[in-house]
This record gives sequence, structure tokens and C-alpha cells, in this order.
Amino acid sequence: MTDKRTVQVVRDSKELAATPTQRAARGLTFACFFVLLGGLGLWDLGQACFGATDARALVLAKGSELAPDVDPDWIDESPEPIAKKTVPERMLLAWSKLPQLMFLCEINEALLTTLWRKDTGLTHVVGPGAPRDYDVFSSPDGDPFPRFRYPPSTTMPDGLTTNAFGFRGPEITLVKPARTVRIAFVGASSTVDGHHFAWSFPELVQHWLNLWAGSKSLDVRFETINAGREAIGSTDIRAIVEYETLPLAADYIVYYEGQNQFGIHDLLRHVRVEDEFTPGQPADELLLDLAMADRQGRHWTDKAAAHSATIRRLRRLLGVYDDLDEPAKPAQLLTLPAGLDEQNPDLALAPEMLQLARILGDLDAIRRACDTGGARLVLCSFDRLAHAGLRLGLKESHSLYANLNRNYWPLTYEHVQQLSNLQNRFFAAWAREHAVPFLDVAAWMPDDPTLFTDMVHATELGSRLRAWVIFCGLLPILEADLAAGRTPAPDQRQNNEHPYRKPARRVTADELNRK
Amino acid sequence: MVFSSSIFLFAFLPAFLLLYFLTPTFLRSLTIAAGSFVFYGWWKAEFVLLLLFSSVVDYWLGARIAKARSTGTGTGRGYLALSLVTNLGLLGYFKYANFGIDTFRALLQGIGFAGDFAWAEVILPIGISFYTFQTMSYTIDLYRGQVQPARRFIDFLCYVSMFPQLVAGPIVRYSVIEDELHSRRTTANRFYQGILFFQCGLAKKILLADTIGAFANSAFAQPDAAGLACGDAWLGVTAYAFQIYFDFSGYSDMAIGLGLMLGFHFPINFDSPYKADSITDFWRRWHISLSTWLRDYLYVPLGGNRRGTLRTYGNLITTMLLGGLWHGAAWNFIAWGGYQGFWLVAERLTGKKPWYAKAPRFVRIPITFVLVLFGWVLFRAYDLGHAGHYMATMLGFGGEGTLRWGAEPWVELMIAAVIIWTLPASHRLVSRAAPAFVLLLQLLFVFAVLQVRRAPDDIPFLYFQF
Repeated sequence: MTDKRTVQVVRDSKELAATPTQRAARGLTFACFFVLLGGLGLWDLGQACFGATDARALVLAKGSELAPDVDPDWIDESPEPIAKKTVPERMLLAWSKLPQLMFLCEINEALLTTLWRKDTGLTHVVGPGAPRDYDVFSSPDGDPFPRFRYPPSTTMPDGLTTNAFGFRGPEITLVKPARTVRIAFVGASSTVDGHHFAWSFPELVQHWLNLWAGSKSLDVRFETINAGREAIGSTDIRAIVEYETLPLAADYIVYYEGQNQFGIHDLLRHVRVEDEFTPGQPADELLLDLAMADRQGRHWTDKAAAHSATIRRLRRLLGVYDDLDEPAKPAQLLTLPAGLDEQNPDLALAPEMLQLARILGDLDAIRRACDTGGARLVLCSFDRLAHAGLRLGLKESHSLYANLNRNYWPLTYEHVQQLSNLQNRFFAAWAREHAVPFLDVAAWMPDDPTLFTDMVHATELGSRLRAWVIFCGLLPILEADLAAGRTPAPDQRQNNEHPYRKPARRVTADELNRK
Repeated sequence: MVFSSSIFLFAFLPAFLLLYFLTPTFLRSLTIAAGSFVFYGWWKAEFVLLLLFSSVVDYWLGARIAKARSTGTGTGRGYLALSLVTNLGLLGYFKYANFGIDTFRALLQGIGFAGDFAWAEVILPIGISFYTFQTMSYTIDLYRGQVQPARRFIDFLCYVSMFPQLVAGPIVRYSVIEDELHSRRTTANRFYQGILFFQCGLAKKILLADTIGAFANSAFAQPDAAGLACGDAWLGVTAYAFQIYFDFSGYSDMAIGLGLMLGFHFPINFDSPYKADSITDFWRRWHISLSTWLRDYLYVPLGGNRRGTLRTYGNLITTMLLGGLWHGAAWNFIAWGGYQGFWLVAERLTGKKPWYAKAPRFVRIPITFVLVLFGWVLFRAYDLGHAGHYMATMLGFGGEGTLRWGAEPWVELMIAAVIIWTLPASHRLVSRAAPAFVLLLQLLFVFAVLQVRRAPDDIPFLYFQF
């Protein structure tokens, strides 16, 4: 009693393996199917049980070393994602005209006034399309830092959702609740994390810290503030610490940044390149297609591949362009200040290296502000992916490959890594000098391309693993301070309103022109 | 879990097949149900309970209907009504509540109220549109006396939850696999056919749909279609037409293949739809399990073509509008259904022939394809406004365009077009299993599998969202 008269079903075919050729085809099909799927499945299983340690396992092992009593299963736990709000119409309109987050933010009025030109506004800075009206705020004493801040209680068109203080993440109160440890994470885009991620790494750290406190039955809870902001440097961070996070009674300030004062021109001060080059502009063939630079035009299939993703894919699967080596670069030599010990640099030489004079000067100011404000500074080394012999998969790491070879052209991976290590070792030396706790995030994180979208920004997995090493690195510091009764400190301020964070006001081009 | 994901291909499927064939025959339905729950729960474990609830309710109501009919104590109409209310209620809540609230809110705002009341968005359980149609077909067929009630609950649970076709069809009626639920056999020949179907589907999805889909995404991502030139708009919608065909028919092929491996014969879901020479013909070839379901459980009960010409047209339009709504809770899907219904009615008016019926077939096919393309604009656009802009661009009212594609999409589309218009449908290729085809398929399968190994991101099948 079936309904097959109205529904055409697949029928059994007549014997499909009647001839020797058909039998061979059937045998091949079974072999392909079972060997490929079953075999690769068994391989994966073997890898999972006995294979090489992956990034996650390495991070878990490091975490156990730093904080032996944490439950490694917590790494998979996450807080409730922050509820998104409706993106304001005004922002959507502005975003459709000029999709730059900066122009949806509140701008420091002192900075805007300095940059503003009558009639042309900011077009000389950002090109055509710059808005004419801005939401502005003021820092104390006309300080032009921080240069901008996120609007409060908003979901922006790219998904970033802020709390009432304009920080990414959950709401916090102006007055810190009793028995609460507040940890503010300061830095730039790698602290803000991908705007589309459900959680930034400070939010994960908060969740795990509270799990840890619960497992220890501690009468304390943790709150983290993600005070990161795109594209900023140490002077912005100094201002954010002083004007935004210390007034919220932060107990700890965790500094994780280094990239925005590590530009190609900073690095080129220490590298002598023999041939002619334009910084940040690699050879034409790399610009055309970074991935195919060394093969372009050698064979008709190369030309075909330039026009077909399918053909490129087939070629890659056959091993062509399987992994990308570093492209050939001009001859170059690292030229470091005389007498510099790369392993243990002398802070006296910092002014001669990169932008360390500025960064360490700002760190001094932050440390002093923390001392006055009752907070403790924790400094992190800054994690980057670049090392000699680094091979990158074309599909998975295309943007990483482009970032390393375009933005840092013509520097070799090796030189970028050496200078990155030097920056971090100066950070460590400064932290030792001032008895500031130092979390060596760069050393603890695995050099795994799957954790990076470019040289410094993390994938969601990378962000979670970074959160884990910072969580595990913070625990001994927190445990000692809790045991000694140094934290949590009660909020003595009992402010009725934030002393510096006032609502932004709208200024028009006419008003700016009159100034 | 997605068929084209690493976890499915290299862990779930091999482990499941091993377990299935090690299980005694009488317990194999249980193995399928258990495996299906793991498969379904991988996405959201709590929705397994919904699947279980639907199965329990319809099994119980089915038994009541059958008992009422066999004992002559009634027709079971009340039980059938309860089944329909339950299934349509679940579908209505999970699939259409957000749409209803948004529409209501817009109406309130339209007449000057704030309309900003709180409403927690309902998450759509994957596959609910498919499995509720399946369970409804069971109770309706029982009521009509066309099937016997399931003998064991576990067989019915296996039918409802069967992972090969659970989340994106084909819609398998109980009557189609009724016998096989109780007793089925897997022969080497059948398993071989199953593998070939599965390989065909995987190759379609990984090597064609995912590649071509990128062009469609770029074209439809242009706000208000303003950044699009006329040629780009045509290219984008053609890419989408190819993508949705390879994606969905690829999924159906994989489902049919998995069914054969387990001893089931599922319905054919696609029969070279872009070779159709009229819209009526298109609907005989596209998503056949849905169109026949709508015909047998909606169009015919509405009166079909038995109640006069006007009523026939009304029934056709109603069926297609609801078919559109089935695809998604949005006005553009309803408009797509209406558009298809319009052309079906137009063809009915001229004796089930299109207005271009006198043209040779090689002309009728491209005209039909173009009509289908305009339908896909409604289907793919974000809303009706976007669809309107897009169609205007296709008709030459667009801008100069900002997309700089070069030759690549044309090459990809040419490859796809050759496959679509020169090769037979996959079920015909598989039924012949010519050694040359099998050999080529193995090569493509190896490429597709290696691609899955390398790609970190699983691109879900388009029909998961429906």
C-alpha cells in the first residue's frame, strides 16, 4: 500500500558490475569511499589520541603549568553573549556612505579642532566622504587623547556592542560593587577583538575567573572591562587609563598592545635594505596575486588558474602552491644600536629603538596613575606571528600572507620577528625594573597560523586561547593579592557620576569653521 | 552537522556505517534514530526534544486514527485535526512568529504607535519545515486509508528523524518507505549506487556550488543594487541560480545516496530543472518532493482542477503562495511563490503551454531560464525593495557598477553551464554507472574530500535555512 504511483523514487539499477570493467569501477569506488573517509577518520582519531600537539593542547599545557588547579574544560565555556541593540538609523546611513567605524565614534574635540580645515573639513586627512558633523567629547585640560571613544549603549553596524560607558562588553556600575575585583584590559584592536566575535577575550577571562572563584568558594567576583580601541597607541591608552578606567575603581590594568607603534617605518630604522624599494609596496606580481607570484605565466595552466578558482583549487590539491613560502625579498641587514644585548636589553638604549621611548614613557605615566588610583598595572608581551621559514596555506592564511608581505615589505619574516622579540624584551626589562607583573603572552601562545587573521589579530580560536593564557597568567597574581588582602579594594570614590565621561555633543561644520 | 563537513565525512559517517552494519537487523531502525539524534543534536541538543515530541504525538495520533477507522468508531477526523494543529502550530511558532511580530510591529508603527514591545526572537530549528511535512503526510495518509500505522514506535521515530533527509529533504512520505522501515536489504549493488549518488552530491556542493556562490554573494551584497552594473546583475543572479541548483540537488543526491546505503529508496528530487521549457515543466523537475507534496496535500484537497477554471487558478496561486511562504517567513518568498503561480496560471490559460510554445525547444529553454532567474531575484534578495532595485538593474536601470570581477566568474559559469545543459541528471548518470563516469567521479570525489580537509569553514547548504 505505497504511494509510489505519485512519487518517483530512485530505482535499483540492473546489475552494475556485469563486466570486468564495471567490476573494476565498482571496486575503485568502494576503495575510494572507504579508504578516503574511513582512513582519514582513523588518521584524525590517531592524531587526536597520539598525534602532534595542536595549538589548543599547547595552550592548555601552558595553562596547567601557570595555574595547576584550573579545570581545562572551562576553556570551552563561555558567558551569555551580549544582546545586540538596534543599530541607529543615523549610523546605518553614515556607514552606507563611508564604512569607517571611526566616523561613527565620538571624537576628541581638541583633536578635531586641530585637524579641522575651513571648508574642506577632514577631507585632507581621510579623503572625500568625511562627514561634516561630529559627536565630540573633551578630555581634561584639553588633552587631545584619547583621540576617540565608542558611543555608549550602542550596537554599531559591524556588530560591536557597547555598554553605558562605551566599552565593549557587559554593563558595569559606576560604583564598583563590594567584594568585586575589576580588571581593565587596555590596548588596541587586538584587545577589542573581532567585532563579529560573540565574545572578546576580556569577557572570556571574566567568565573563567568567576568559575575559578566559584570552584574555590571565594567570596569575591570578577568584572573585566574591555577598554581596547582600534588603531590607538600608548598615549591614547595612558589617557584611557587616567580618564576612563581608574575612575571606575579598576583594581588591575592589563596592558596588551605594541602593534600600532611597530609600523614599517619604525622597523626600517633598524634594517638596511640593499636594493631600491617602496615601503609597504611589494613587487607588482605580488600585488596582483600574492599567492602566485613565483609561478605566474610559466605554463598555460598558470594562465588558466589566474581566471578560475576551480582550476586554482585543483592545482593546489595537486600540490601546486600548497603552502606558500616567503617570497624572495631584497637583501637586507639588521642594524641595531651598538652594545645592545638582544636577549637582555638595557633600558638606557630604549630611546634608540622603535618607538620605545614613547611607549615606555607612557607606561611610566600609567604606572604612576595606577599607584595613585589604587590599581595595579600588569604588562603583557605582544603576540605576533612571523618567523623564518613560516609557510602559510593559501586559503586559510591568505590575509596573513598579504599582511606580512605587503604591509611589511620588504622586511623578511625573520627581521620582523627579531624586532618584535626585542620590543617584548624591552617590555620585560621595564616591568622588572618597576616590579610590574609581566605576562609573557607572546612566549606562551603557539606560532600557529590558524590562530591569526593577520600578523597580530586573532581568529576566534586565537582569541579564546589568548584569553586562556592571560587568565592562567593572572591567577597567581590574583591569588597572592587575595591571600594578602590587597584585593578587592572597596570603591572609595562612591561617585555619583563619572568625573570625566560626559555625554558627547554634536558639532556642525559651521561651528568648527567659526573656531 | 553538515554533510560536507569534516566531522560528518571523517567521523560520523564511517562510525555510523560501521555501527549500523554491526547491529542486528531488528535493531537497525534504533541505530538510525540514535545516530540521527546525534546528528541533529550536534547543532542544538535541545531541539532533539522537539523532534521527539513531534514523533510521539504523531505516532500516538496516527494509532488513534487507524483504530477509529478499523473499529468503525469514527473517521479519526478529530485526531487528524489535532495532528495538523500540532504540526502547523509548531511550524507557525518556530518559523513564522518572528515574521508575524515584525509585521504587526510595522503595522502599529504605520498607524502611529511606537510598536516597541519586547519580543525574544525565536530560533528556527533546522529542518522543521521538512519533518513536519513528513509527519503530516503520515497522519493524513492514515486518515485517507492509504497507509497502515507504523508497527513499532522505533520505526516511526526512524522515519521522522532519519538523518540523511532530516534537515533539507527530499520530503519522504511515509508511504514511500513504509515497507522498507520494517524490512530492508542492503546489497553491494545498492550500496554502490548509494556511494555514487553521495559522491555526485559532494562534488556538486564543494566543487561547484561553493565556488559559484561567492559571485552571487558579491552581487547581492551591493546595497540597493546601486553598485551594480546591468551585466554584473545578470551574472550575479545566474551564479545564484547555479549555486542553489548545485547546492540543493547536491544535498538531495547525498541524501538519496545515504538512503540507498541504508537500504531505503528516497524520491528523486531534481530532474535537470534548467532544461525545462516552461514553468509548468520547471516545477515537474525542481524540488519534486515538495511540488508533489503540495499537489497531493494542498492543491488537490483545495479542489485542484475539478471545480471550474477560476477556482483552478485560485488554487494554483494559493498553493504557490503557501509554497513560497514555506521557504521562509518573509514577503519576498511569498512574492516568489506568487510569481511562480502567475506563470503557472498564464500557462494554464494557454493550455498548459507557455506563450512561447511555438518557438523551438532550444529557444524555449533559455526563455524559461530567464523567467526562473527573475524568480530567483525575489528569492535571494534581502527584501522586496532590494529585489526591485536588482531587477531594475537587470533591465538596464542600474549604475556603472563597482564590481571588478575580470574573467573569472565567466569561466566558472561556463563550466557550470556546460554541466547543467549537456549532462543528464545525476540519477540517470548513476543508474548507468558508465565506467568513464565512475572514474571521473572518483577523481572529483578525491578533490572534493581534499578540499573539505583544507577548508576551515563549513559552508552550510542553502536549504538548511528553510
